[in-house]
Amino acid sequence: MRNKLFLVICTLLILSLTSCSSAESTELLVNENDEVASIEIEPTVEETEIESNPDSDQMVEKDQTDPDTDISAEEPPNYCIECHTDKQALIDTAKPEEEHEAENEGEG
Amino acid sequence: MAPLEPWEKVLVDNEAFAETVHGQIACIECHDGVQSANKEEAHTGLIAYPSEDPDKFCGECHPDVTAHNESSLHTNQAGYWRTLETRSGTQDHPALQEMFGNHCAGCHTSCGDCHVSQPTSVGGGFIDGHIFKRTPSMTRNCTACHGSRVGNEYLGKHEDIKADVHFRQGRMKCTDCHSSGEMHGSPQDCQSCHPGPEEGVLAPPDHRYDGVQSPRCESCHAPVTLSSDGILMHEQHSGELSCQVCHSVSYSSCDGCHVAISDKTGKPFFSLGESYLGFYIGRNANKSYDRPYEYVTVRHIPIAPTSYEFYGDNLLPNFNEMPTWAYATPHNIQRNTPQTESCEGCHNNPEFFLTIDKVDESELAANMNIIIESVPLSVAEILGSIAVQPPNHVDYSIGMCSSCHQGDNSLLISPQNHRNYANDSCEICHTKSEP
Repeated sequence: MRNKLFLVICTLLILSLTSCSSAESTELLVNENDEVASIEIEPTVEETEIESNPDSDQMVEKDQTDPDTDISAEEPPNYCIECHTDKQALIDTAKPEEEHEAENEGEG
Repeated sequence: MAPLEPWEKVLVDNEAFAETVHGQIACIECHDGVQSANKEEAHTGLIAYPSEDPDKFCGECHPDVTAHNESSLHTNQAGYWRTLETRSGTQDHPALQEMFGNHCAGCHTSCGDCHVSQPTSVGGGFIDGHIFKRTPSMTRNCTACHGSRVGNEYLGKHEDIKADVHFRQGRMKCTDCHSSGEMHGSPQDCQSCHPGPEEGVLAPPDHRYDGVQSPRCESCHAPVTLSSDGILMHEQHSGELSCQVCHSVSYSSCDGCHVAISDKTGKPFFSLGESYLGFYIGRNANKSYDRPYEYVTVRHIPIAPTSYEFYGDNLLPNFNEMPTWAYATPHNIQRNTPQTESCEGCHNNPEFFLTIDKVDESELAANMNIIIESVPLSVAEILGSIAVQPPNHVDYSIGMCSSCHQGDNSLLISPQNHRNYANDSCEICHTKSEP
């Protein structure tokens, strides 16, 4: 009986000691890792060199100018459309149609 | 159709046109010319009708259509040449070529004449501000050219003659029956449309009513062909009569057109002898598998032996090679006509038949295959002449008739138009003779 009691006490003692020691060591490892991780992950700001595009300045300027003024300045006028959408211009420039007496007789 | 004002013909609706696919193409891509505010300078090198060169200007995007353009009657006017060459007996006759150039070539039609403008032959001008139309306008494109006969008949413009039922009740347009293949030309080889292991080439059509009927009435009215519509006359006459024989009414015929160049203006002109309405049933001189009809409607076409005499003497020495009363398909179809009122509408009614007395003496030789020698007997006469059974049939009973009256014996074969009658119904018409 005494032997049995002794064995139980010894077993509990060993278990409790073992569990205490492992908890301490884990805690220590985690702390160490955390520090290392925080150092590695933290982003660093680095300045990147950007090549300047010679057109980009013009584009910015374009955006700031009046669009109407810009189109007329940049695109050549489409004279075909200008004239052929202008009823009065077409009337003014139309060739007079030849008027000749219709000589057809009967329904064609 | 009233002509457009000069400015109206070329006014572009750019707001709408710019939204279309063709509106994305720069004007000079198709029309050439020069960018200038001055009209004369701007029009230097102008191509007013780009689609006269369809392969170059239309074919890039529409190669499937332009590929068959050469076979389109709108393009090649082959029908004109066939009749000219048949009646003249020659090809490439200089005088006839000159005549054709002055009076006939103007009817040539390009893509743009149907899809963006009115035909040049009627003065031209944009249909809708230079917007391209997939389907041409019936009145401003189709009947602008095909107006004096087809247009007037179909739209009911002749006094007291109703418009075609397909227009009056169905509001059908030309393109509802006439396919784009008919307009654009179609491939001459079978496999383009019917891919298969066997090769086949269609012979070019010999004349207007050669080859497969397209369009054909039965495409929509299939029960007529199948004799399943319960109409006895469709059973009795199908195959013998073209549909128009019963379902058309009076239409135009014309006589004696002559062409010349005006002394006063130097312009070509024509002079038509007479134009009149009438309904004529003639014989079908061009029977074929697809048109087996014995009787068809015919109309007088305006040709005369002297039609082109301005360009030379005796230019049509083979005038009689073709009829002047031509197979016609009038576009004024009606469900009910004078012919459908009763059997006597046609039987024993000389009014509707092209008998010899209706043909000008000078044209008899040309129309011998068309003229009806004798008007069909009245139904009473037909039945009276054959209805009574011979005396030696007195002892035969109902149901025995087809024992003898069928098969290959031509004396005993029952007429083809009896094929739908039952064997036990013979005695309804063929009564027994008195013993």
